[in-house]
Amino acid sequence: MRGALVQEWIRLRTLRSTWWLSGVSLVVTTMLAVAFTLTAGTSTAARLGLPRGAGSPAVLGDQASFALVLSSAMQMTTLLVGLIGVFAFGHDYRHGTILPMLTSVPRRNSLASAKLVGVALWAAAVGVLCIALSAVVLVVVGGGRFAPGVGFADGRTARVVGGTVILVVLFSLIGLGLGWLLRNVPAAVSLLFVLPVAVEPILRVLLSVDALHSLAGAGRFLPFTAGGQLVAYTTKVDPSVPEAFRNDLSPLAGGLTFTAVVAVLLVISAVLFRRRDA
Amino acid sequence: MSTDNVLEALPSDPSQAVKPLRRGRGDAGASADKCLIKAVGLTKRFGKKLAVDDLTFEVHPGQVTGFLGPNGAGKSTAMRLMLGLDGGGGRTTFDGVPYRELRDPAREVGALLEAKAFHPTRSARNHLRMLAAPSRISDRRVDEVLELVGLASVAGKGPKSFSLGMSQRLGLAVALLGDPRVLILDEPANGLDPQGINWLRSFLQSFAESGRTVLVSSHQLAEMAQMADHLVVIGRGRLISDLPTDEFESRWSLKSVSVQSPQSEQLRRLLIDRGATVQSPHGDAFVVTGLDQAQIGDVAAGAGIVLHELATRVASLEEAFLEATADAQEHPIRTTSDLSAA
Repeated sequence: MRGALVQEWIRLRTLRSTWWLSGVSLVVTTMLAVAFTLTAGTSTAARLGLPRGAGSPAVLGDQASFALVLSSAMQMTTLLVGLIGVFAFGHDYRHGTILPMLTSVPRRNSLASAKLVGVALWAAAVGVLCIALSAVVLVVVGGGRFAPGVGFADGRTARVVGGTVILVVLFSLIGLGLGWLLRNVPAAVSLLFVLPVAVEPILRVLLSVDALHSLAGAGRFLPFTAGGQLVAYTTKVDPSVPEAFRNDLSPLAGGLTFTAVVAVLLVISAVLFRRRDA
Repeated sequence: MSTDNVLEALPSDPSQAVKPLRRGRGDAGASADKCLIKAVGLTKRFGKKLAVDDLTFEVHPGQVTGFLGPNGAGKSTAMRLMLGLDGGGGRTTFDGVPYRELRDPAREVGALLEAKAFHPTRSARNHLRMLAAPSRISDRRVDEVLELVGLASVAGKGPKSFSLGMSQRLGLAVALLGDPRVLILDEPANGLDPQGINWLRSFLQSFAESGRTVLVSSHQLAEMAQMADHLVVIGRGRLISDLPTDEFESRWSLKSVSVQSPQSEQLRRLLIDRGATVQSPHGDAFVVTGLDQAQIGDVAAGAGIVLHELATRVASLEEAFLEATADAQEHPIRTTSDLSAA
């Protein structure tokens, strides 16, 4: 197993795409953190329904806005790290490297476990770095933009930070699972983007129509929607959010729902991996 | 970079590149490191099609065993089954141990199954380092095999632009990483230029002579004739022949005798009466099968028939192969006469 882990470590490090996707994640997250910090007061006012614009009293960012900056990684890093996951098996099947990899590590469980651990650790590292950069942005740019008492020493903010890392890791694993199951990079990438960005929002809108009103609550348990609750600062319903997209699922329930979906995908992929030809 | 440039780096004497066989553990001596491959009842089905049908054969150490068959015969599938890459029936053992249960597979069995099995932008050296890691093979050995296959000068480059021949060399380098006791190579000569093929032949022969085991598939029959000591021939997934190369040639060769006589009509009748088959009559000349040169000479002498030519013709390995696999072509090529008839 140790040898398989070293192999996975070399595989990850020697792919340009790993570095590009990780680098772009850090840059985009930093830019988002700057944007969220600069607009912390505005977003706080919108959420609280306070008057904005000329003549209105200045609003400083609250703790929720502070936590939003620290969770900037959930905006794009999740998808980019998901791509790193897709490539874990996708590249091997696309370029035929699965053959020499399986001859060097013939026990398929060992090879798969090494990939899971390698990708998850890499994703966690990228997630932690993104949060660290967001924290630096808060320190450098955030001075005077947040209300007194708002800061890092807050329990719920710590939970959001932890949830962000978990969400990034789960996205990397769902990408890995899609690449593993489909053995086709374009198909896996398409699903990785289309499911959270298009399919789930459409389903949630459809579930909110009157005819399906009894099913409206089910929309909260759609996997990516539920997973998003991992970085929710509060479960209190935000009136500024359209009804179809409101979510009162707790971070724990949301996280467990998403984790269960990822686990099912990985188990199906693992069973097929043992049965399928290389 | 062209393959020719790379060729300059190939060792002139491939036998120098083959390390002596490792001594066995304990007092068993070198014989303990010789590996016998036993494939028993290999079977693989794709839907309704039986790609490999109850294939059983052995590959012995100390010789190059050629794995021959027409396109689609099931050679590659059988090799994948042997290495546990595909699911199917049967069992292959390497000194009694299935591939998946080998403790250190890269040091036991080196395999080349596909030439272009690499990521296009990962450098050749990193590709090898990645595959060497599970067996704790050093970076020094990685550089050694790159040198051995003549790719040292492009070790830092991505193989995206490698020719087929260079890709084959990289695949061979992977197979050699662990200095294994066994080599299983699927069409390794594909894409190699004549110098490369010559080098490969010499290398594999030296490798086998050191007491190791080599199974190499090829459709290049002339190449097999020069390279292999033993031939396992399959067609439509079934074993057709499992013989030493020279025995295969003599067993499957149709020996015929070319005859020329001014009394050819009379001689043909006499030979047919004695059970011979007469083919290709052309003027005074014809070809006889079913009787050998001496028997035909005796018939002619007994009847007072003058002979202008009496020569035995032995089919080449290629003809023997075509004869052996004539009924086992998965996708037979239509000849011009077939097309005319159609």
